[in-house]
Order: sequence, then structure tokens, then C-alpha cells
Amino acid sequence: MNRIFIIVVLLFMKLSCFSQQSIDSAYLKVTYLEDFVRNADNLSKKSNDELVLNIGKYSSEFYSLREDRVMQITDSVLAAGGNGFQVHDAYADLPRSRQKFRIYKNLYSDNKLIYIDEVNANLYYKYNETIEKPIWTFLQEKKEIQGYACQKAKTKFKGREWAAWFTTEIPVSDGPWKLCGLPGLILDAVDSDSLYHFYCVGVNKLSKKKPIKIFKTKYVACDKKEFYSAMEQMYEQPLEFFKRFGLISAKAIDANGRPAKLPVRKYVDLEVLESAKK
Amino acid sequence: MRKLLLVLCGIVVPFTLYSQTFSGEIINNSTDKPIETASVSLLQTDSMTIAFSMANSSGRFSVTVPDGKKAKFICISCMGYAQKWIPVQGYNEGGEIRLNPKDIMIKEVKYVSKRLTQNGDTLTYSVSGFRMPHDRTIGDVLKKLPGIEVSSDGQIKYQDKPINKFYIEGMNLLDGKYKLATNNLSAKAVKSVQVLENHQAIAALKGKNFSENAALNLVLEDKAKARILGTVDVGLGVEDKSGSVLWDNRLLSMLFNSRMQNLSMYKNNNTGNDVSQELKVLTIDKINQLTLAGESNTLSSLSVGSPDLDQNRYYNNNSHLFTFNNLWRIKKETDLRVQASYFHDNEKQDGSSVTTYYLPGQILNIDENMHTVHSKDEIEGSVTYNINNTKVYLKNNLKFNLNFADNKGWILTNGKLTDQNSDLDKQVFSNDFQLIRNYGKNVFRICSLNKYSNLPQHLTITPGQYPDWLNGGNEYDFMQQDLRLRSFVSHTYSSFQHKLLGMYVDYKVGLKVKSQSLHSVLGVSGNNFPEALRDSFLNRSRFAETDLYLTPSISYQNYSFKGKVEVSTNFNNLYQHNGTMNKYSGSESHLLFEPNIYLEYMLSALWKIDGLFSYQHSYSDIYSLYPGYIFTSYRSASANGNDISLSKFMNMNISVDFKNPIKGFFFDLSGNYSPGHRNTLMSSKFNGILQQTVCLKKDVDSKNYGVNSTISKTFSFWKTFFRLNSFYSASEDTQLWSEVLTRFRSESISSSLSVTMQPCRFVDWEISSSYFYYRMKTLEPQETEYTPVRNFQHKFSFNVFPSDNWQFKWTSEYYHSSDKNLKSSFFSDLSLSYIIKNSELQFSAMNLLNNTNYERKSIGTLSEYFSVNRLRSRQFVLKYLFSF
Repeated sequence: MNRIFIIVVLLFMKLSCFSQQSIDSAYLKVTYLEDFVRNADNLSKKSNDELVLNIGKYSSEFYSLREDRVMQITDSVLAAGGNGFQVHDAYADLPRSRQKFRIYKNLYSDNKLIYIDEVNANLYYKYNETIEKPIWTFLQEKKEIQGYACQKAKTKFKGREWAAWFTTEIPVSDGPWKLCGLPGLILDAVDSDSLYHFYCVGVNKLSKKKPIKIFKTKYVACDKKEFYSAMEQMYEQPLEFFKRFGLISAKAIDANGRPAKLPVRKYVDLEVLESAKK
Repeated sequence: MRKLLLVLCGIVVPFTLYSQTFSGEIINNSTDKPIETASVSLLQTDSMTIAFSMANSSGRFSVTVPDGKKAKFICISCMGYAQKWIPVQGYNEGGEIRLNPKDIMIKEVKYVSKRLTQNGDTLTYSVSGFRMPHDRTIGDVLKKLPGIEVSSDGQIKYQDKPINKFYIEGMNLLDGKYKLATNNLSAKAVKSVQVLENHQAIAALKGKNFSENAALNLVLEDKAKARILGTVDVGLGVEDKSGSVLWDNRLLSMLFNSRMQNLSMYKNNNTGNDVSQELKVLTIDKINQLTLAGESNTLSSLSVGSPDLDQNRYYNNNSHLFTFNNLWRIKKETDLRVQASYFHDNEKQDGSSVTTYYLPGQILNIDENMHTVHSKDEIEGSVTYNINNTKVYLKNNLKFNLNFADNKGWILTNGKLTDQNSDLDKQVFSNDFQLIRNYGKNVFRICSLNKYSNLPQHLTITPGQYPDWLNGGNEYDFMQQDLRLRSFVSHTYSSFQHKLLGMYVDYKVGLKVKSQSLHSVLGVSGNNFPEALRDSFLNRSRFAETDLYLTPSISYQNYSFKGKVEVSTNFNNLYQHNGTMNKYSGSESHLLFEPNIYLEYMLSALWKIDGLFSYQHSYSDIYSLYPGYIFTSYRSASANGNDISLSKFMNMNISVDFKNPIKGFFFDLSGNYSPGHRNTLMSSKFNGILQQTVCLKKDVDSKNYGVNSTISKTFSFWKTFFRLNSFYSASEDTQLWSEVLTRFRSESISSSLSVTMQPCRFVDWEISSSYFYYRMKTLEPQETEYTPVRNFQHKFSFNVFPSDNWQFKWTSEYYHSSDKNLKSSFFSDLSLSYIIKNSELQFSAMNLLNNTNYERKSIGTLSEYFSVNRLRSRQFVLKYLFSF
């Protein structure tokens, strides 16, 4: 019995070693509002979200404030032994965007970006990529955003053309989403089709430093191609996607024995992959 | 090499000629250490940035002026340091630039997040997007919605959990019998399907109690509201062999408006379609959690048994179903619902069988040839009154069910003809009361379920059997047995929950009462029934059980671990009384603990492991407490003593789950082991063909164990999906078998492989093969192995959809066995349908090869069973469906 106990304790110790340690902490919190499209078939309909960029000495994290709040509530209710409805009831009145992606730049190694997103209910995928610094063209335009003097720059980045306003008053070469590589912080960024628009609404110094670390959940590690192919399949052929979990019910047939033809809900993302461009 | 150098020079030289580059090193003025992550910008006169570069980790940088631009200043900035502007003219190329540390000065911009409200956890699917021209009912569409699964009995599951409520326009018309709606409500009448995740149906419990189950709500099209919706189907066909006419018709009307909802239907068919399935209750009342086992018939009706085929191959029916469902919304939160249904069926069965019993030193063969007619009438009605608001939840459901079954059978047993007629009637009245009252933070609840059942059963066997035993050796005309089982069961419970050290502690206290009586008497024609024997065929038994329980449970959950421990403490009192000649009554009390532990651990997103341990007890009730013999069929009689039996069993289960969604690979392995112990021994002996079963007092150990595994993989080629499921199970038990204490083990293995493919939009097919293996072995008194049985099944189905209006389906099934004496069976079916607007024309041809006999062999307890079922012959049906 004693031996079993020791093994169990050792097992848990070993498991706890796996949990990621925080190596940087944020001193600055920048809040953006975002207007974005969710449905590729209805590009004029915009959803909105509040997102946070936490900036540390070396690294940064970027996520949806709304979904983060939902996740925190879920975690705390679950930790308290509640589940299901209590979780739902706790966040029922909160606004949601269902943008569950999180981006960590330079967190565990320089020039690396960690991207985490939920593909389906509680199924999180995680991929790493080398940070790609866009080649910006500086434009001769200036304006003030939230009291900061900003200059405009544009670039072609990850399949879209972006116009961004940055301020050298905050000399941090970072910005919303994967955008970065300007002499100052990006306070406003919009793509040429106006499908995605981030604009800064808040800048706060964090008096109590907030550690930057990957949020706690279980991930499926994958590469970027695998992530996008899963996302696309989840949107465009959900039944095929569920087969990956051995769900035989994924073979949808109607009462007449025909296979179900699902409407194509085209997947749309901030990033346009090379393969998807054509 | 030299050439390469020249080329390189050619590239580099123009830059050095035309672009001006500034470089240098950035140093912290107070520590003399290099500063990394500083940004270096080149500015024009109007302080516009024209170029930019970042210093590397050793503080070095290099920035180039773009073509056609002119730099005026170099600006160096870094968080935590004072910004520095250096005019280009005075720049010391390659030199050091010193920055002074400075507190971070940020102009703060306060932001307070707005709280927008959204629909919470409601997922809405627009039906129009999922509906295809060939989808007729909403059930067809539901099967396609992601995350929703419709099982073969019609139960709807959302993310693997059965839904707990099915609403139409927010009203619960059908209360669990929702198959009536999914099978009959036109997909065109429905605008959208809402999935209410984690649905708490009881308003008074919102935020106090959790439900993991979802509810479904159908939102109707405006044009479908407040008017009568109807469907008329007419189907006619012919059965090839007998030439008899087949029919399959439906008449349906529905009305949905804000004060009232109604669904009424009449359906009939003789094509082998079981319509009574539509009346099945498919939701689980989780809030109530009270369950009462229904009483079952003591006598059995004659049957060859159902073969392992689709029911419509052997179901020779003549069914009529009428159902009426009405809901009135009396007030905003008050509903009154009335449901009534009538079902009539007349089923014919033909078949033959040979049962082989392995007796010590002897083999007993019983050859039976039978023809049976089962007729059945079932009337069911219920009235439900429901108040559901944030303060009070009150539900009272009063229900009755009247069942009249008349089973006639003619059996030729080893060449001797016998008639067996049994009337198995059943009347059940039940009342389900639930009250939940919400006092701010505290919730008071009480649930009470009460049920009265009356089961009068009659058995007549002609000619009289076993004259030596029953009639002093004289042949006689008939024997008759009257039996009446009555029972009253009641379960009332109350519960509350609180939080302790981050865990949830739940207490449940309840009282279960069961009172049963069994009276039976056997009569034989003539007056020769020995007086002395009369008592051994007479029963006047009563049994009562009172169970007072308290069940505390603790549950804990975090992001990778989930656990629940529950220990049920039961105080039982058992009373029995036997009112025949040898009067006997007795009572006993027990205090029992039943622990139940469940643990689940997610090792990673791919691996999950869970385990279950439980320990349970169970008592015998009236079904095994009657001292006089009861004939359950013309060749079996059983009697049980006065001993209340107690069985205890343990259950252990562990399972490992791996799913890799990237590779589309899924794997699941689970094992279970459950040893048991009881203090009664079943004794079976044969007197000619008569099997006599009695219960004796003796300690017996039994055990069950098994392993189950599933592997599946998806391939992108032709959307191929491959799945292999294997299963092994074994059980060991002891019986007194013809006076010999026999311990035996039965084992079964099954394995099935299926592959589905869809090479293009218009064609898909599925192939599956299954293998079944059964084996029986006696362990004591000596080891003996009996011939195992191996059966195989192969199925192939092929679908073609030339256009949205046309569809064609062909299925083939092949059944065979390793036993060469068994005939193998091959079936082939075709169907074709054409859709135009609101109507559809269907043609189906079943059993094209006109295979009318199905042979199979199976293994039972120390016996083997060979049966031949008569199937429906080749049939053609043409059906026209119209909805308005």
C-alpha cells in the first residue's frame, strides 16, 4: 500500500513538472476592439470582440478578453466541483465572441510564435511557427489615436494587405494578432477588404505584474497546416471531422439512406494560407 | 569561385554606392551593458519614420535609408529608457550610443469592457441550410446537424448525452415520446433547431443545480403556425408467395399555436414495420432520478425467439396505432397536457427448434414445431399538470396503462401436439409528483413516485400434461393455471447540496417501499387431482421491502481530473408471508453500505484513462419467493422456497482512450471484472421434457469479466472510414443440474469490421463483416467442452443519387455459420424513390431472393439451441406520401 502511495505521489510530481513555468511577466496591457467577419458567405455582417495584448519584457500574449473571462469562470467553477449548468449559468450574461485563439510571441524561445485555438468543444490545437516580420512600407500620414501620435504603414502579410497605425511613443515592436515589426506599438490595423479591424481602446500600465504563460488546458500539438486543415474540415465537412474520433454516427444518412450533404460553411480566418489562395 | 565573387560584388556594390547605412551599438549609460530590443528609426524632417531596425541581443544595429528618401534624424527608443534623437550629420558611424534609464511613462487610456448580452449557450441551426430535397421529416435533418446523433431507436443525443427535453415552439407537447414528432413533422415546417446546451428545464433550479444534458427546441416557420398541418400516406403492395395484399398508411394532423398544441395520428401497416416504437419514452428525467422497475409477467408466451435480423424481415404484423397529444398553456408558466394512445397488433409466427440439454451422462433433445398468434391491445393515457417558474416547480403526472395480450400457440413436441394459450394482462396506474421550491439560496425539493400494478395471468394447456404427476397417471383433457401478481411500489426522496473545501457534497435521503403479492392455483380437468398435491401448486405469498437510505457523495473536478465518491447507507427491512397450508412468515433487517467510486484522468489532449469501482447488494423479491410450483410454460415449472436470497457483487472497470484527430486515429480499450456472491443455488432437473426449477439455500460464487476494444481510422482517399470492434466476455456460475453440482463457464467473442467509402457525391457504399464465437465449458464436477458455435454476417449497402429528386438503394446481407448443417442465408433488397414538391413516390422490393427460412444455432446454459424462423417472403410496396 505504501509503495503504491509513493508511486502515485511520484507520478503526480512528474506530471507537475510538465506544467509550463512562467519566465516573463507583463507590465503593459493594451486593449483592442475588433470588428470581424465570422461567416465567409456573409461578409457584410460583422461580429465584434474585445482583445488584450499583454506586453512583457521579452514576450507578449494576445487573446480575447471575452472568451478569457468565460474560460476563467469555467475553470473556477469546475475547480470548485461544479460543472455543466453552473458553469453555463455563471457566464450566461456575459458577451461572447467565440474567438478562442491565443497568440504568444517569443515566449519560450526567441522568434517563435505559439498559436492555440479551439477547434471543437474543448478540443484545443497548438502549433508553433517562426515569427515572420512583415516588410512595412512607411507612409507619410499621421494621426492621433487615443492621444498617441501615430504614423501609417502598410504591408502584405499572411495573405492579406494590412494598413496599420503605430506610435513610437510606445517603443514596442508588437501589435494585435501576429502583426509586429514596427518601431512602435500598432494601435490600429485594418485589412484591405475591411474584414478585420483592430483598434486600440485602452492602454494600462500593470502595477502588479501579470505572468505570461500558456493557459492551462490539454492541447493537441500539430503543425500549422494540420491546424488549418482541421479547422476547414470542422467548418466545411463537420461529419468527416467527427470520424477522426471514431464516431460511427458521423456517417450521416437520412431516413431514406442517403448521405447527408451539409451546406458548405466556408472557413474564414485572419491568415490566408498559401495553399488556400489560388 | 572567382565568378561567384564577381557576381556577389555586383550585387553588394550598387547598395553601398547608392544607399546610406547607419550602424552602431546601444549601451545602457548606467551599467555600460548593451541594450537589446531597442528600436532604431530613421526620421525625415517632419519626424516621419522612413526606415526602422531592431538592435540585436548584443545591442548592435544597422539601418539603411530607403531609395529616394533622406534621413534627418536617427531615433533610438527602448522601453524603460529615455528616447534619443541624433542628427544624421553628426552621427558617429559604428560608434556607441548611450541611453539613460527612465521610468516607463505611459499615457494611460482607461477602458471599461461593455457587457453585451448574447444568447448564452444556445446553438441555433437554420434548418433550410441542412435540408435537402429528399428530407421529409425533421428527424432526417436532425441526423445531419453537427454534434447531434440519432440512435437506431430514435433517441437524440447531443455530444454523446441524451437530450433531456424536446420542445416545439418552447412547449413540451410530447414529453419524451418525441419520436412522434421527429418521424412525422415535416422538415419544411421547421425554421430552425435550437440546441440549449446544459439545459436546466426547471426554472426554480437555474444556477442551483446543474444539468449536463442539452434540450432541443424546434422553431417553426411562420406559415406552419396556427394552422393545421397534415400528412397523408397511402401505400399498397403485394406479398409474392401468398398473394396477400399489403398496406402501409398514415393520417396525421398537427396544430401549433401559442395557447395550444396538438398532434394526432392514425397509422397502420402489415409490412413488418413496428409503429409502437413511436410511443417509446426517450428522455431521461434526470431531475427526478427515481426509477421503479416495472413488474414483469411470470408466465411466458410461446415464441421461437427473435432472430438476429432486422425486425421487418420476420415481423408478420397487422398493426394499428392511434395517438392524441394535446397541450394547453393555461397561464404563462402553467401547462396542462393530455396524452392518449391506442395500439393494436396481431402477430403470427412460425418456426421450429431443437433444444439440446447436456445432462450428466445424458443428452436430452426437445424438438418443437410451433405456430403462434399473438394479439395485443394497449391503451395508455396520462394527464400532466406543470407549473414552472423561478420560485416553484410543480409537476404531477397521473398515468394509466392497460395491456391485454392473448397468445395462442400450437406446438408439436417430439411428435406430440399441444395447445398453449396464455392471457397476459397488465394494468398499471402511476402517479409522479415533484415539487421544488426555491427560497433564495436554498432549495427544498421532494419527489414521490407511486405505482400500482395488477397482472392477472392465465395459462391453459391442452391436452393435460404430466398425468403421472398431476392426475394419478390418468390422461386428462386440459390443465389450467390462474395467477395474479399485484404490487405497489413507492419511492420518495429529498436532497440537498453544499460546498466544502472546493468540493461539492451532496446528501440524498429517501424511502423505498415495495409490497407484492402472488396468488396462483392450478386446476386439472376431471376430479383426479390428488388432494395432497394441491398445496404444492398453490401460492398465497406476500413480500414487503422497506428501504431507508442516506447517500452522501463528494465530487471534485479540475481541468484534468474528475472524481466522485459516493457511499450509500441502506437500512432494509424485509418481510414475507406465505398463506398456504404450511403457513410461514418471517422478517429480517439489514444495514448495508454500497460504495461507488469514479475517477477520470486526462493525461493529455490525446489520452484519457478512467476507472470505476462499485459494490452492490440485491435481494430476491416475490419472483423468487413462492413455495408452490408455477408452470411458466407447458414444459417448465418452477418453485422457490421461503428463503430470501441476498446477492453481493463488485464491479471494477478500467478504460483507456486515445484519439488523435490529426491522424484521424481513434483507439479505445476497456476491461471489466465483477465477482459476485449469493446465498441461493438454482436447481434444474428434467422429468421427461418438463424442466423443474427450484431455489435452494447454498452459497454460490460467480464472476463475469470481459475486454472490449475499438480502433478506427479515417483516410482522405474516397473519404474512407475504417472501424474494427472486438469484444470478449466470459462468465462463470454454479447450478445444481440434474442433482449434480455443476460449475460452468461460457465465453463469447465477437469482432466486426466495417469500411465506408464515398468516391463522389452521387455514390457511396458500406461493407461490414462480423464474426461471433460462443463456447460453453463445464469446470466441475469434471471438465467438459461442448462444440462451439461460430456465426458470420456480411452486409453490403450501395446508394446512388443521380439527382436530388432521385435515389436508389441496394442492400445485400449474407449469414453463414461454421456448422455445415446450417443453411446459409442471403438477402437482397432494392428501393427507389422520386420526389416532387410536397409529395414523394417510393417503391421498395424486399427479400428479392425469396428466402423464407432463417436457421441459426446459439448456446445457452448447458444447452444448445437450434432454430428455424419463418421469414416474410418477397414483397413489393408502392407508397405515395403527401403533406400539406
